Amino acid sequence: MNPFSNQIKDVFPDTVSIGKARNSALEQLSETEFPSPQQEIWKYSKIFNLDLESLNPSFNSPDDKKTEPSFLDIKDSGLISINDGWLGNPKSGDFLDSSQGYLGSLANMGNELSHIEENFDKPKDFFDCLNRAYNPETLVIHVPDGVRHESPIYIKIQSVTSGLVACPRIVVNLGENSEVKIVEHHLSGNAVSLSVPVLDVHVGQNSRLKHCVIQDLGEETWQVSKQNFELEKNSYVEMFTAAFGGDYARSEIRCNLKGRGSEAYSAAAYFGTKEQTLDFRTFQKHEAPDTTSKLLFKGALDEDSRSIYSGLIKVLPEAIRTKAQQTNRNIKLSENAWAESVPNLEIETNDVVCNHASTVSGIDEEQLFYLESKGVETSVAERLIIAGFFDEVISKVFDSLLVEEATSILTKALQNRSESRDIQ
Amino acid sequence: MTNEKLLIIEGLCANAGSKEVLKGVDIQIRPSEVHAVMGPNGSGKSTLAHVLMGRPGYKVTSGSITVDGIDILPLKTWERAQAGMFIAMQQPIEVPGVKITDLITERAVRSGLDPKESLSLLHEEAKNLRIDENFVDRELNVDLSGGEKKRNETLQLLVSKPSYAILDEIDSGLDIDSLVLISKRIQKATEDSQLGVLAITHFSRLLEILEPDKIHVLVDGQIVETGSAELAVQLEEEGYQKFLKKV
Repeated sequence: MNPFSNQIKDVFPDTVSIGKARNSALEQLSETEFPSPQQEIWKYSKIFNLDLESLNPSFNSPDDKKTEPSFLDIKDSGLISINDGWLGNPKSGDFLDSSQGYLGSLANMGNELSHIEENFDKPKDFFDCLNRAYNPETLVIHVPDGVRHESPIYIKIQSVTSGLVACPRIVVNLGENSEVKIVEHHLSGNAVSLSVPVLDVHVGQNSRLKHCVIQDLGEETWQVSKQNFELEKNSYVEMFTAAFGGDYARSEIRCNLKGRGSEAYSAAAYFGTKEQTLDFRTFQKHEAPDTTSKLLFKGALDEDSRSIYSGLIKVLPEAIRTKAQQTNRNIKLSENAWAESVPNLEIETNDVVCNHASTVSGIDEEQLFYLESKGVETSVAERLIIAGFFDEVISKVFDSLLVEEATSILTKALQNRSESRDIQ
Repeated sequence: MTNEKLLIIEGLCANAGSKEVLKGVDIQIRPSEVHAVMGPNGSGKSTLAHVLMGRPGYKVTSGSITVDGIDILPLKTWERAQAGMFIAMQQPIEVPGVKITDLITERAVRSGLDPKESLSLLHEEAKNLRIDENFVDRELNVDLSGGEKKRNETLQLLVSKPSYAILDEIDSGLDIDSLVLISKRIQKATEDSQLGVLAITHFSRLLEILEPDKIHVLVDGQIVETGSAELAVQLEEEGYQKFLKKV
């Protein structure tokens, strides 16, 4: 079903081929059912609360000045911004000379690179189609064979206008023996909006990608995000998500280890407050022999917040000698907080080492006693324990700016928590 | 009630879970005094240490504990620590992601001290205990050997400067050289900062350096004998047989 009746002809700066893809996504969207919590992948979610018809797609590029402050603003020379799904200035090519690759809009990319779209899957579900149909401009990051970028590419992704559905899309294509690092900051200020970002990544043979995202959306924003990673032979991907904001914020991360010897490392830190719902669905799909995937998601839930972690490790018959791990740990910080953790394994071959673990518990009483016995009050001891719990995932992230920002958001949240508990 | 500097444990009865373990313990420790509690396994030594610090899972059923005139029984664990109590734990708990420097800084801030001074004291005492400089940046008790954990506990004791320290088998897991080093530093604290010590131990070796003023023999939750330092030597030679018969 398409919730929007608006005509979208000539609204977006499409090339012929983008226009075609858009039309086909629109068609597919009208034939696709809106998700329901009866479907396994939407179980426990509150997707039924989303009133899409009260929102509109973004048909105009918002004023560049309409922007939320980001920790990435200090990077003014190398910072890309995407506002309500539209690329901010500069739109193309300004960061890289052509030998270093392409960084800019899909529409401006030129025919010589048009083949890279073939590396990416067609939209499958409702939100894929919604994104593809209403994504104004796709950002392409293409790194050719043998090119390694030392400095990360920083992207600020904002949903700045209330009443809109923002559909940003980023496509990352790494050739062979190449390398790139990407840092995303998602924010929305006070906007009452829905953000439906899609990240499609293809990592070529022997290439390396490090990707991290910090989601610090405003309290009135919903997000349904999707990241798809395809890994070729001997490639390596490291990814990290810090999720703090949003009313309902969902992140679906799919990792296909297609090439022999490929490795994927995935981590996340999330902290829920008030009535937030933070929802994670992960897929580690091993399609080739000698592949490795490790996942560690850690969350703390305070007040009336909820979290859902549902993950699947799938090992196909040909993916012998797979090593796969999936761990989800949750700390409930209040009586009313709620965490659901559902790890799953689907293994179709014998020669594998796979394990999964999940826990939902309160703050460890022994740790609390130990710190208190050394003279710090309960609220401070709790703050230290929670910060220490997240340290395992946050301290290993490659980008120091993001580590600093994630730590500072967390410290602030924990200090507020300590203070409110001291008052009680 | 008096404000005299004194740790008084009086008629202390306590349960561990639902089991009655302490059945009326009386001990008084003055500043600079060292008292040792010895006794067979299961006699209640560690329970006494936990009850003094208010560890969850233990319940005082009667008796009292006062620290320099303050009744600490109604106090939470951290309030007892701030009132001057310290415990060096037999099995220090791992706290992933938290460094000793985090703990020392928070404690200093909360006690109105300059964190910089506390941290420089930490480095100084680490040197005295021959602890590697990088040690202070490691996570609390995570992947530490038994001996390293005990040195870490001693380091915190020396930096916190409490009025009274409970040493719950601080000598277990330590090699002879480390044991001598640690005991000497604690002994010095009893002179320099009038630290009162309640040392729970199975071995007289610790006491050779700590020079206890009194030895208490705890059997089945009661002090069955109190004597001078020679009692520890006698216990080491003869064991607890004759006291077991007394109960």
